Amino acid sequence: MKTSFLLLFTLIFANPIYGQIEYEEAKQVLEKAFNVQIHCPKKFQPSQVALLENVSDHSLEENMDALLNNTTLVFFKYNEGHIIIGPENIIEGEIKEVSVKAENELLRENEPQFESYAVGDPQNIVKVGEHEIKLYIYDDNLKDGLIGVTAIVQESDQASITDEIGIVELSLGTGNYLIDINYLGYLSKTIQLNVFGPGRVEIALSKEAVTLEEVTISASAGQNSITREEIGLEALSAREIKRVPALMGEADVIKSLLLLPGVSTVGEGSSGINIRGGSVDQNLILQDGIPLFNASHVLGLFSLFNPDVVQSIELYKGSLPARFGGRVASVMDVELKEGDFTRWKGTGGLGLISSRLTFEGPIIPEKVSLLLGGRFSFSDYIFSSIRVAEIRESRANFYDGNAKLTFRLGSKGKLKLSAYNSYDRFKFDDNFDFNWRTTAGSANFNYVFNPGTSLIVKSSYSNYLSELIDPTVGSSFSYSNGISNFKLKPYLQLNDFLTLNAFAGLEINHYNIASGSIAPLTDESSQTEFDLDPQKGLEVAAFIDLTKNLSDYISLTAGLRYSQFRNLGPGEIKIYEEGEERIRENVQDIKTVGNNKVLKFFDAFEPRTSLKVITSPISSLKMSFNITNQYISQLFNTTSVTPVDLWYASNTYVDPIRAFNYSLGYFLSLDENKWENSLEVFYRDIKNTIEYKDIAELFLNPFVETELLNAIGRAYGVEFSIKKNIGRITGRLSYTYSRTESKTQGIFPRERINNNNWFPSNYDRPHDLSLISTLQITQRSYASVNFVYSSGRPVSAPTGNISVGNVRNIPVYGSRNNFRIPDYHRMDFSYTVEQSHKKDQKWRSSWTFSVYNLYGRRNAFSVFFTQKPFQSPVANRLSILARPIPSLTYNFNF
Amino acid sequence: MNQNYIFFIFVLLWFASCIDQIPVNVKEDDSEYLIVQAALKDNEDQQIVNITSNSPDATDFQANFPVNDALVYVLKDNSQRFDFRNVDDRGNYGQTLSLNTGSFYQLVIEYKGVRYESTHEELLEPVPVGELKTRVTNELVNNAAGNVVEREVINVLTDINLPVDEEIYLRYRIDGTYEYREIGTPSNLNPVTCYVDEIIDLNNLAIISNTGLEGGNIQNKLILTRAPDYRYSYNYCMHISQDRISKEAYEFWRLVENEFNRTGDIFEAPPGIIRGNINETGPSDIGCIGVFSVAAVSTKDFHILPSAVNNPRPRCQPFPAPPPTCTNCLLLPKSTLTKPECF
Repeated sequence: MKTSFLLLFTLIFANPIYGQIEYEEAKQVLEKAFNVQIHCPKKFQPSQVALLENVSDHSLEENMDALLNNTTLVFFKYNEGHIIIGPENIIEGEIKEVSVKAENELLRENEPQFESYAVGDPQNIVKVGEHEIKLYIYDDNLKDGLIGVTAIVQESDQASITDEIGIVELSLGTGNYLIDINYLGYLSKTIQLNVFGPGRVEIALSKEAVTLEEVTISASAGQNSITREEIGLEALSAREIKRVPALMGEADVIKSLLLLPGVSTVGEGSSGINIRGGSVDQNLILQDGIPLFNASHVLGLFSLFNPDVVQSIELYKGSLPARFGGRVASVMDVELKEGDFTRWKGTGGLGLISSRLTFEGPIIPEKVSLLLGGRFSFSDYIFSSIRVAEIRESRANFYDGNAKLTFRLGSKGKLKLSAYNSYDRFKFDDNFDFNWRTTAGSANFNYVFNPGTSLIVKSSYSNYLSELIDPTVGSSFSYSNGISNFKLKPYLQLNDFLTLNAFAGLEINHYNIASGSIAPLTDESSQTEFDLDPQKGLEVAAFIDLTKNLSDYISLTAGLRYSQFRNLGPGEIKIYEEGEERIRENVQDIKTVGNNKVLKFFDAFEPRTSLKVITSPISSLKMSFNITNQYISQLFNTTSVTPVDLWYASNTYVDPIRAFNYSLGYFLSLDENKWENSLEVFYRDIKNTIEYKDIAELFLNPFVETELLNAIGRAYGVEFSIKKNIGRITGRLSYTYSRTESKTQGIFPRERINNNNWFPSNYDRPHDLSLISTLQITQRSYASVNFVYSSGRPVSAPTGNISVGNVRNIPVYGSRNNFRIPDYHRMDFSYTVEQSHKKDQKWRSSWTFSVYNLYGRRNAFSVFFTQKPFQSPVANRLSILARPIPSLTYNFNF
Repeated sequence: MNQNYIFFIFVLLWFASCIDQIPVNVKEDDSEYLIVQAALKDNEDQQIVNITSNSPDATDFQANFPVNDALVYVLKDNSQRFDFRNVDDRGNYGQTLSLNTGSFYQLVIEYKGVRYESTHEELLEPVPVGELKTRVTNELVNNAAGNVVEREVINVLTDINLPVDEEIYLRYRIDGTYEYREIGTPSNLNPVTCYVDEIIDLNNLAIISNTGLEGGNIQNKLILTRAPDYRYSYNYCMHISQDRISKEAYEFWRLVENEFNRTGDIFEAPPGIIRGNINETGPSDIGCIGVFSVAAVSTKDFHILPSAVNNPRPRCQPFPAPPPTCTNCLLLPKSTLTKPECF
């Protein structure tokens, strides 16, 4: 059926094609017919191409479309009379530029002129093994290191990108190499590198003379999983995110991450993700370095990140570098784009429930750029049109906005200022009204002292506020809580420092947690005003990451993070009767601590190590061991976090979470890096994780510590992934088997969950499989399909019932999480048609048709139990998104 | 509200949601609990403690098993001991015990070598029953065919003013007696009126507390909802028992009430064991669920006249053919010809 479907679309959108002929022959026919010159590097030329039957009856564009049909090549017109053809699979889909020089090099393909560099000592040639080669790539004019420049070794397809100060590392044996260097907005170049031994060379890149629209020819694979130092690091580009079939056509960062191995969620419509058995609050989510405390819109249906402003995402789920801290499970580092320094342009989209628009361009050309992006929902019209009064008065809307100013400070410095604001409202008639807001800003400064030394200072402020309004007449109230964070993180990045690469610096985080306040909404309300004491915390950490190549095949990264946490007053320390259950009635004394005095102090060393062994040119073995500490957690005993769930700082009663993370992985690249395969195993041993007593009451509870249990946890699993990077069909198959369990160590009955035996956590889903595949149907249309499957998550089910007095059939729940809801599986589909890739087109657009839940699987959102008198309990499955949901999205850029 | 909330979620998700039933296949669970009911009242002399255990077989929901071999006693003020003896083979243990205001009581159970103790419960001063009233409203319910229909219901409400200087926890139990009038027929020339007792608060949980309230005045607290029928066609007498209970007992009933209001909302706290205030004193494979309470009981009778509930039609009519109880009302369970005091 799928094949037929694709075929149908292909027929609709493609011209009739007659005959397959040699490329050279077709080229000559078209050059003669249209008086143009067609250029394509030999290494990209297809052997056979299609040619329309009567060439002159069709336009040049139609002929070119037909010529490149069934290839991954695209074309654009350059000046009068030139057609450039390049490989589609190395073309950035959204920001499309290419330098004149790059084009000219394509035009002069037979006249290669390479700059030549030498590295190592020609008088003392090291003939054995591979050498560590560092290329410092900088702006020829500004003398500023360039971040994100791609370097590809033609002979081996080894590829890598420059880091924050412009350094790219390669491992090459003695010999001569051709290296392609590409960077957006700069003239690409190919250099000849003569390697005699380890060392460093400096390479200048010049800005392109004229900017052309349309395409960028850049690296296809970048640094791959074989050569990357980290284990368990997943990187996604904006393009990959946009190719994933999305709910209601809304490309979504979090939904894309869920297709990666080791990443799961408790269900659709739930906030947050679980990574390698961690709870949602154990992930550090950074947007341009700013910590975010709630990353979801509409109670989790969409994420906070606007895909149009996202540059890249890195998800650290295995080895966590020491420069990241504060969470035990993972780090999700979302980097936003900088505004374009040369010209103004925009991108946007219209969807069924929301729209988005982004502008970017130079405030001062080459000096200061601005990026502005925003999204807003307009779903209220759906509710307004429904006759049911309660629904008509309901609301579910959101907006978010990003602004980013980037200053180039001379040749060595860069300052980036960013601001972010998001707002959500989720109201149901007069029953309840949730709203939550994130306001954040950052100032990040980079300064390159010399190619080996740079200073990075990141500072940010992030504030999350949530409110719940219950307008019930007579008892109406407004409840609010929140958390704000100020962060300062100065650090040095050193390359070739005593033959090491290093990151070293400090990180200071100050937290201010509004623990919750409730107030009557009206004078008639019986609700009394009540505030819980705020919480304050100061987390200070010093860190160092050192990476050294021990040999040509082995590199070691050793890091250490030393962190301190001070829970600061004002506050109270309740002294509970020793040897008795921690309940409100057993409070013996209460000590009051003044403002900014230390209520409780913690400190910890957090070693971070990883080892990479290149086992062959196409494979590597990596392992890591990390200890991570977490000093603030979120309290929630529901399946999914709500917007008003409280952040809670480690204190006298709750110790910091401490996790011991072990990872081991084998990475294999096949067919010249077209296929990336990996097998990883992990084990996490968790001390001091928080569990909850049965039916814990967390809402505005001044004795909330009486509901919490210090438990231990463990998570372990194996992840398997096959990824195809290049070709008409690309995609990824991932499978994870993992378990996540907790164990209480209580003495008193209410403190012993499942009699102190191991029990599965709420998000324990042993089997998790995902498949995403994209088929490039023509050069301007592609179809994507993804399939996901995971085990049902555990819930507590009654194992009997009791009657007490006149109340019959009170369910008796046995072990916690003794039942699993049905397994989850779903297939989605999307088809995208883009406009023809022509250089002179100002307005470009695409249509995406997608179907979420293609076969209408009734996946369980939750299962709850009801019981009628004298009958057995009944399990009720609440399903959402239980039918195929089609959508159509119009995307554009200009 | 909860049903509407789910409906809202449906709309939000473009009507692509549903609720259906799925088979339960809980693995065998070896969690075993003693289930204890021990509600001692100051207006009764014969006190009963009932002990059963749950079915450890999770796949069927058998009735609880009576526990007849436990040692059961109540300690008064930590000094006097009152042993409770088996009164039948259904797990009931009885003892004559008059409760005294201001005294503390503790239930102790010894079973299979494990000792279970309740919290110390004080018999507090009773609180007078507040003003009672009715209000007739309409509600939506599912009929036998599964369709949503509107029906009239009687809401019994109370206004009560509680002292503000102490925490007060109340639980209501309600019984009723109604008039049932026979009709005259050739075979029943002298129709009589019966007075029929009935339990009307099966699964009705009405609890009140003054904690967290500004002032102690509680208005229009709903304590019972009933659908009016022939029972209300003459005179209906409700017997309201208001138990003043401890905070621990109140908490137990509050959690039970929450349990009955589950909707499957993903933001709902997960269910758990509602243990109550009786705990094992050491490690044990057999937990304990239940509540021990000593209640100071206040009572009040409350009449509902037909005019207050839109004059329901009497059951006994000449046409169509009346049921046998219309010519012999003593066929009704718990009926009597003796006029109760409240009439």
